[in-house]
Amino acid sequence: MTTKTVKKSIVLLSIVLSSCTNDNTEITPVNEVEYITTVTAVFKSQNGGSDVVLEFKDLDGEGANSPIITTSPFQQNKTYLGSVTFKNELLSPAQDITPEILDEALEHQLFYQVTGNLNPLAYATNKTNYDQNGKPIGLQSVFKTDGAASGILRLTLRHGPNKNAPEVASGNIKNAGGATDVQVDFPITVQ
Amino acid sequence: MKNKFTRLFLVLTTATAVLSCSNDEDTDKVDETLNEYKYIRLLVSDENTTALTLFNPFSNSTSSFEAKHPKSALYTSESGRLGAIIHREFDYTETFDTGLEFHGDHVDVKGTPKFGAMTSTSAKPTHFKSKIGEIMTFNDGDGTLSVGKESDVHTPGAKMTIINAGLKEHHGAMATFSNGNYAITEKDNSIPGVLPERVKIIDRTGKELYASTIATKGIHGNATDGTYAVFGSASGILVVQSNGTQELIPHPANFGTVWFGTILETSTKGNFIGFAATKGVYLINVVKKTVSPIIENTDIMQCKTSFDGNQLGILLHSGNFISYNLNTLAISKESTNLIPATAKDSKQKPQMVFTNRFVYITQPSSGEIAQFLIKNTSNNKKVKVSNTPYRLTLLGFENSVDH
Repeated sequence: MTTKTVKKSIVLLSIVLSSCTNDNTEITPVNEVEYITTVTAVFKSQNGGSDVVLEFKDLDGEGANSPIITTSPFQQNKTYLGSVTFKNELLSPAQDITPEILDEALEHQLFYQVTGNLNPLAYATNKTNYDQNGKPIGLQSVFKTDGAASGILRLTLRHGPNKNAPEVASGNIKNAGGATDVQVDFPITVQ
Repeated sequence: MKNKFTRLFLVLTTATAVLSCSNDEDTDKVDETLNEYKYIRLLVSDENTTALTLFNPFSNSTSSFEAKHPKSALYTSESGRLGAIIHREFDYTETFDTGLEFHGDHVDVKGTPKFGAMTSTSAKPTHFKSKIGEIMTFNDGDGTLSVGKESDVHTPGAKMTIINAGLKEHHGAMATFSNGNYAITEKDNSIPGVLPERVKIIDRTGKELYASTIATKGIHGNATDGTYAVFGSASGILVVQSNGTQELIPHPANFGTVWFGTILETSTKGNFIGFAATKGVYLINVVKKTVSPIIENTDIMQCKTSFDGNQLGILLHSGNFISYNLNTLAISKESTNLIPATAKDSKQKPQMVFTNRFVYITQPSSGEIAQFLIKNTSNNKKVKVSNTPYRLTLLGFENSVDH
C-alpha cells in the first residue's frame, strides 16, 4: 500500500466521520415570533373592471400599534373571485404561511361574515378550496355585487373547527368552535 | 494486483467509516429536556437603571426594554402571559405582555413582547396577586386594592380600578377566593408598626361580607388556593375560608416566638408552604391542620415553588440548591456550590426562579443570569443582562407545542 493510498484513506475517513457528527443536545433555534402579521385578500373581477386588494397588516400583534388596513372599492354588478393569503412579515424574508394552512387543510377553515347591505360571500367551488374530506378550507371565495352597498367584511381563520357541525361547511361560523388564528375586519364599499 | 489491493482497502475503509457512525434511532433523537420549553420567558429588572431584559432561554436570545423606573419588583399573572412591574417607591405599576397565549395544549403567539396599556398610579403598591383573570396589588400607602383584568391589558388608557374598603394604611395583603370575593388584611392599631392584625372578607365593591373574628399580633405573607386564604401571623397560621370561618393553626412547638413570614401556594389544594428564616420550610395542610418540616435549616437564602407549583426550591447562602417534590416531600435534586456563597449581610442577594427543567439565578455583581439544567447542573451557562439585575420572574408556559 502506498503512502498516497493511506493519505486518501485518512482524508476519506475524516470526511465521512465529520459528516456524521451527532450532537444530541443541539436544537435549532426558532424564531421569536411565529404569527400572522398580514392578511391579504385579492379579488379578481371575472367580468371586467379593476381587481380589488384588501390588506390587514399588524406588525406587532395585539397591543401598542394599531393595524394598518388598506382597502379599495368594489364595482357594482361584478363577480369577483377572491383569494386570501397570510404572511409573517416580521421575518426577513417574509414568510408565507398560506402553504402551511393548506398543508393542514383538515384543521383550518376561513369564514366570511358581512354587515350592512353587502351581499354574502360564497366559497369558490374549485377543488383546491376543499380538504380531503370535501369540506371547505375557504381561502377562495366568490363575491357578487349588484347595487351600491357598504359594510364590514370580517375574515376569521379558525384552527380546529368542527367542519361537520350544522352549517359550518356552508360558511356559518356559529357552530364551528375551534380557536381563532386571526380575525380581521375590512370596511367595504361597492360603488 | 497492487491496484486491486488499493481499491479493496479504500472500499473497506469507507465501509468501516460509514458503519462506525451508523446512526441508530435512539441516539439520533434530540433530548428535548436538555433545553428549556419553547414558550418560557424570563423578565429581569435592574437595581440602578430602568433596564428590563426579556430572556428567551429556548432561542438563547434577549430583548431590552425600558421600565418607567429602576428597582422594580416583578410578578407573573395567573395566566402566565403577563408580567406586572411594580414601582413601590414611585406609586406606579406597569404591565408587560409576552404576546404568548396558552390554548390548553399549545401556545399561540399573539404579538411581539411589549408593555401593556394598563397601568396603575396607586399609593405604594406592594403585595401582588393574580387570580380569576385579575391582577391585583395591595397599596400600602392608603390601604386600598388595585384591580385590573388581564384581558384589558391592551385597552388604550386602561387603569387598574381601586377597591376601597375603608382601611387604614398598612403593609397589607389580600387573597382572591374562587367566588370572586377577597380576604384582605386590616389594621386595628392593637400593635405598633405597619403590620396588620386582622383579616376580613370583602366583595369587589369593598363592602364587608364577613368581619374579622381573630385578632393576631401581626400578619405578613399569604397565599390562597381559592377556598382557603392562609396568612402568616405572630399568633399562629391564620386560615380564612371563603365562608368567613377563621382559625389559627399553631406553629411547631419548638418555634417559640418565631412565625412564618412567608407563605407560598402549591399546586395541591389545601397545601401551602411556610418559611421562617430561623427555622426552615414547612408544609402546611390546612385541612388536616398539620405543619410538617420539609427542610429545617437556618442558612436558607431563597425559598420558591417551581413555575408549575409542584416543586420546592431552596437556595442556601452556601450556594447549594435543593429541590423537593411537593407531593412526596422527597429530595428531587441536590446540588452543591451551584453559585458562590453569599454573605448573609449582603445588600443585594441573588434571586432564584425555576421551571421543572432549569434554575435561573441573578448574579447582581456581574450583570448576568446563571442558568442551570436541573438534572445535570454541570450543564450551565451565564446570560448577560443589565449591569445590576434586581428581580426576575418567569413568564409564559412550560410548553413547546406550536399552533
